[in-house]
Amino acid sequence: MGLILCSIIQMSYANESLPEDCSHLQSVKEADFVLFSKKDFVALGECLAINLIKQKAPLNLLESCNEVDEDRRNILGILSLSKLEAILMGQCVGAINYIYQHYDNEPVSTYGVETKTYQCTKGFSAVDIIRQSASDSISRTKLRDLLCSRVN
Amino acid sequence: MNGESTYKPNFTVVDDIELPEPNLEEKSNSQTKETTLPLEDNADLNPNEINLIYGERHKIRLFDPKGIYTFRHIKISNFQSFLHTLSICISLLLIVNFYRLLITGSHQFVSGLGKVNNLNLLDKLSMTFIAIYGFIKIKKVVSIKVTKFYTRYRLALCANAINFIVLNYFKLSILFLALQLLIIRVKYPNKRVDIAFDLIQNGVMADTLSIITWFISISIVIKAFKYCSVGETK
Repeated sequence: MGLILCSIIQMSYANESLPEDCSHLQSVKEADFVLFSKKDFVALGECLAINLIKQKAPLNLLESCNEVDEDRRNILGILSLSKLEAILMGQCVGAINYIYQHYDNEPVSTYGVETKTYQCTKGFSAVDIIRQSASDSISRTKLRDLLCSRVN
Repeated sequence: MNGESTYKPNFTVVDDIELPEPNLEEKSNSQTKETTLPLEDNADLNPNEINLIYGERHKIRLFDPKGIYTFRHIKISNFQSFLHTLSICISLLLIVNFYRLLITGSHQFVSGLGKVNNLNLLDKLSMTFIAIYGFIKIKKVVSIKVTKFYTRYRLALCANAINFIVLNYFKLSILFLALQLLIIRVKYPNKRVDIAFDLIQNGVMADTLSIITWFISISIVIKAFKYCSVGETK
């Protein structure tokens, strides 16, 4: 029984170092109790997602955005939220916000001619768009094309 | 109805004289035992019923804490104690491994962060409660002195309680597996079984079902350890 207790206490371990941009969240990475640090976990997820987008690495947003949807419909609320789920939620929200901030109302540059601008979605409608896209990993440009439409 | 009402006071009689009885049990062999017990005085119990109760006394119990407590005045044989020791070892091994699997199996890789655990607050609270409750109850059993041969009684009670948990949890798992397969059959008939399992185990429904699972698990644990703190403590 003591063994079980010990393993419950030491349930969280992480074996990768955080990217430099997110190093201010080092303490959050060690934390383990969702009740007090849900917002921090979400922030950590956002930071990680933005960092991945900047590196042009593909993201698995389908799972992340499914978690946002799950959180919205869940009757148990924070009781059934895990650290992983909070971080994944942050990734979805972070990616959507990053795309929105960077592309909304920005001119589309095709071959140096700027005639159109991007109109991007955010919030739950964006979450639903990603959930329906049904692709496991998504790159920055694909995400932009998914969330933003080009208007004259 | 009539038989039941005469059966109950009879048990209190057995309970009341539980101290002298073990001595009689130890001295007498199985043939003379029947004549020494007050059961025969009761005209309502026919010989078959008496034989049934005698049979129950020396039955091997592995998943029955209530039975161990009810027949606590009966000496537990060497063979039974051996079985209890063996079964408690197997059950403890299963429980520890199950918990370990539950904890390590829930870790998932997040790029840039490493492995992150996926146990939610409800899981953690329930697991901690079960661990602490079990620990307290086992500690109580160790200090209990109900009968003269309390070491064997303690071992028997612990083994039965823990085996009871394992057996019932096994039944519960099979029930939930059947339920999940049924849901897969109805909801995702075209998906591969492992993908469908992943979908089921990570969703709103899974979270809602988890509270039921934990509720049943905690009930099993409480029921199993119910008799661990009952009895005389000296």
